[in-house]
Amino acid sequence: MANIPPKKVEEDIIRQPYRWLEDRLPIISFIDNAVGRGYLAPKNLNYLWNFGSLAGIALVIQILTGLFLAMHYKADVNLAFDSVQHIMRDVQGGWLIRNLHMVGASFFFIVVYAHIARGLYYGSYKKPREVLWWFGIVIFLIMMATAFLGYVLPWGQMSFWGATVITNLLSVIPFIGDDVVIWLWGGYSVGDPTLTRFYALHFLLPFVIVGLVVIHIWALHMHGSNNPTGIDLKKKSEAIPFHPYYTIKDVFGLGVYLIPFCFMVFYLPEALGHTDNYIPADPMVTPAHIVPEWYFLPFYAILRAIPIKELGVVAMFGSILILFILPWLDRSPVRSARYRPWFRQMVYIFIASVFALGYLGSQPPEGIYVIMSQFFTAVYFGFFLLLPLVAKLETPKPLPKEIT
Amino acid sequence: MANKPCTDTPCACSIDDSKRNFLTRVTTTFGVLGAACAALPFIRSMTPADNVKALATLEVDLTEIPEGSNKTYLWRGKPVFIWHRNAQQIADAKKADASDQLLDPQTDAERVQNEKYLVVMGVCTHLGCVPIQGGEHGGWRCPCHGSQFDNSGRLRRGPASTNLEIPPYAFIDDTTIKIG
Amino acid sequence: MRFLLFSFIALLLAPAAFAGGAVEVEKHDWDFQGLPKEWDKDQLYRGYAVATQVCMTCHGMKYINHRQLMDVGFTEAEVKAMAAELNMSINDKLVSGLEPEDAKELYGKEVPDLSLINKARAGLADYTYAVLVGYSEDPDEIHHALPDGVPEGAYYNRAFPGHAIAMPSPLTGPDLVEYHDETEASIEQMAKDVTYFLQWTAEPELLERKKLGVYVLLYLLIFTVLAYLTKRAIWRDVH
Repeated sequence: MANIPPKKVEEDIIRQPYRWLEDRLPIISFIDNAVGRGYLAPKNLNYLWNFGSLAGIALVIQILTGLFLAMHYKADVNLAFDSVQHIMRDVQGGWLIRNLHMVGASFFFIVVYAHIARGLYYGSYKKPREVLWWFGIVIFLIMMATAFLGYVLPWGQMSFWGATVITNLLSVIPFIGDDVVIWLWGGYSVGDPTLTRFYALHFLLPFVIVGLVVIHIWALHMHGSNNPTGIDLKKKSEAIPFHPYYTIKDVFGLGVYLIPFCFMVFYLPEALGHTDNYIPADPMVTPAHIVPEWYFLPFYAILRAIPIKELGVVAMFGSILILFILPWLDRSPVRSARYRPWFRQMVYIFIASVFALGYLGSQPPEGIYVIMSQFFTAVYFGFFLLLPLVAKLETPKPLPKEIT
Repeated sequence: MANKPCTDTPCACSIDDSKRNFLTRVTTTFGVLGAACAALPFIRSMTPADNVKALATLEVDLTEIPEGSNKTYLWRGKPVFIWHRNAQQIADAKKADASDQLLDPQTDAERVQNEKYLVVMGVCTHLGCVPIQGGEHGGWRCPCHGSQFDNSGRLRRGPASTNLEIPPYAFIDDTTIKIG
Repeated sequence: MRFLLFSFIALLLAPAAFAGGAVEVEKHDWDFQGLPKEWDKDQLYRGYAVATQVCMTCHGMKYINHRQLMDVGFTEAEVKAMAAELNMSINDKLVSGLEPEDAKELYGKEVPDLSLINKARAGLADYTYAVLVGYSEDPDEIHHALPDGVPEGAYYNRAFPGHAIAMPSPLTGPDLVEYHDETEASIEQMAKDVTYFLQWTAEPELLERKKLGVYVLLYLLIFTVLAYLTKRAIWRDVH
């Protein structure tokens, strides 16, 4: 804004109102500084950094499609299932909006998992970005809650039994567990009050996430983006303005994202769902295999790996909560796994264990599957518990002088 | 900071710039067009759904309305009056064709397909209340603000400014009409 | 870069790895798979005949009414005649004359609505077909599948999980319904036709969805290429 070009009549039409607004509410320059020309980002970010903005877009897609679904959905045990069919059959283009929302939830998780994995690999959780990392975990937790609540709304068999099983987990809370569950249900089982309040919360939480995303980005701006080398920027020439460089890169990434997304929406909308959820909820009959949505499977496997119910629940929640103390478990001064040979292998093994747990979570809890779940649960937690030791013993490769 | 780091190759800059600007413009236009198309299904989802549209037509058996009386039907969520008029009422309506008291002049013939049956929306053209039978002109009067309509549904006294609306309808046979 | 590649492959594998297993039923080539232009009206009509004359004795299809058939090529006069034959208006839901309580007494369990059946069972359309042709009275086969014999009130069916189904064979013999066209109403043909019809009742949006998808994907491909070219042009002088 420093050098204002010579005044022209055409420019005044834009510039004068701009200055007028800027003087009263500097919202345009605020946005420009947040995700525009004013935000300087390392010039060496690779495509894994796209998942941050993609997550934001996935959130917007969920909120938009969700809003329009909410105009037709009815949160009543007698009407919910039918109202979803009303959306699929009667509402003009309703099937498209529902498929977008349904597939969108899965893709949101894919994006967020990639985003977390990137942060893990390149040490983005480390000083001075711990609070940024924390808010990311909080967003992830609320996102899981939102997805769980949303899956209950179609009121099919999986909705009902998923809700029953997951809410029952809270009964392990000492002394007050049973009362908490009844409080949550608003009755003595999952029923009409449960559905209605789940709907209310499912509508609210995405906006809570939006608020947390703003804080997440705020924290990001304190020290700027990490980068694949993990080293701090030393020269101004190592940075480029977010706009146009990363905006166009994100737009390209969006295109790449939307192709498989839309392919699923139009050709395989049910592939990630479960046929049982097209049977209306029946409190008298439990489906033969209750399986949560794929994005919960790794945690579900951890839950089932441990034979003691209370401990299983603790392990399941612990598997996410442990991420909060990750910055203090890993005290290595080097951020990026590129320069940490041991850590690098550990991250690969860790991610492989999450995949293995995901597969095991979809299998019946019998025989070899239980033993394997226990093994990979040990690998999962072993990763975190070994980190302090590895940080001490590992010899990092020499770091580059500047980002590459 | 908006300066692009192209100081090393100043000559290439102008060519690159124009190519860049052109591509940016094409991509932006194409993207905005796509976004606009993507908005359509959302807008469309708020238009009447198929099950609502299915009830958008109503078939009425006219034989269930005795001569001289008026029956109200619900069509698209609004009342429709069907009045099986007797000879006297038809004559009255026709006589008023020439009257200078019509506030929205129309002949009775313009308002009916079969003069025995007057089909009008039961919605006052003032602010949407449902008129009730009565008034000084043999038709209806509106309980909300006192507008009056004659036995052809024509406006005789304000505050409304137009005659009672005629819904689209057609005779399927002599005794059945299809509204909508 | 290796990590990038690794993540990408992992992302592609993720949903596949987590997808659950399905009941093993023989797969058929249905013409609604792939990219069909429109529903086969004749087959729908035949399937409709089986559905309304056989299935609807006990099952309903409550998300379906005759008016919706106008979306797949039937004229208003045709659907009015079809509805009149069942003493229905074209806006009436296709529900069975059998009351739910009576059904429960008759079969010991609730009779499921069929509108969504092709989406609500693992195996989808193939499963529906397999159950319809899966009845057998061959004692060897039955003994092999159910060594303790068929439980009381149940029937042997090779496609049904557990092989003991509460529903007696609906397609008891050929020519159970009279088709409007020359097609011979064999058991297999009737099963195929009604499965086809039930695919339409389960996913009436199927063809519209697949058609629209082509345009959307085409647009996205062009958009992505344009975005890539623009990205390359803008990034030209970085590094």
